[in-house]
Amino acid sequence: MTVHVWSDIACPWCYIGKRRLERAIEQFDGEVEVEYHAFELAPDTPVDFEGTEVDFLAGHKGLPAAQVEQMLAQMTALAAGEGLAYDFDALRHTKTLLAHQAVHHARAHNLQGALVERLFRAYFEEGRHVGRVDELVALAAEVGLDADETRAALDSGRYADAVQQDIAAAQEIGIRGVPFFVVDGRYAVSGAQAPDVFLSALERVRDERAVAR
Amino acid sequence: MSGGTPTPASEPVLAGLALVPLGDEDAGTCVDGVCVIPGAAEPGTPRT
Repeated sequence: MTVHVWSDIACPWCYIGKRRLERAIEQFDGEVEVEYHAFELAPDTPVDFEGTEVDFLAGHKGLPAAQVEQMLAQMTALAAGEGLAYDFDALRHTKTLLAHQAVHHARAHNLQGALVERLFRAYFEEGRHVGRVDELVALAAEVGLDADETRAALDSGRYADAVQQDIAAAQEIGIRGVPFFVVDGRYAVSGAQAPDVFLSALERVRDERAVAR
Repeated sequence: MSGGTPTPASEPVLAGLALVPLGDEDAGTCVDGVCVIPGAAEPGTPRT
């Protein structure tokens, strides 16, 4: 069966949700394919932002700096619980449309899962700038994609329409937030749910298929 | 190396489907740039 996932590289809950889904799949007795789709969480984000994490969040969302710091601490602790080392001090804010194009390019070469993981880690743990072509090409090459081909795909906007189709599909389905998971085209799981929720959805589909046979 | 044989591009095949929701309604999610932490005193953490 296939699990379609709408997420954004710059979404803290999406990386956590990815881990929880993976834990469920590990426990599931069956074949599961995961396909990622683009969602732009904050379209007004600039490609480049010079400033701290708190500067950005307080400035763009109008939240008090102290509240932002508390929230980031909570998010960091939640991520740590999943084995993820979020580093919001090093994080580089950027627009993620180009990264989503790279993810589509990776899918065309059966490397989507590897690149999604690499991009999340680069963004949340390593302070890498995932909005620039050079950085994306380097990260893509790390997971086995051809650097020149990746650069050509990004420079030409080969997958720009595919990214917009993902975003349009999300709107049509009614997705307002991410991560958002669609299991076997029938069940919707919104948010970074516990692994048991994902596992239950997978088992439900498997059992329904068995009855239908 | 490209890492494998190219596969067809993704299709927006799910649009218009009637989906059955599963799981808790207040699971961690990010909406319009703000990420909600279930059970937190504050309404959420901003998208970063």
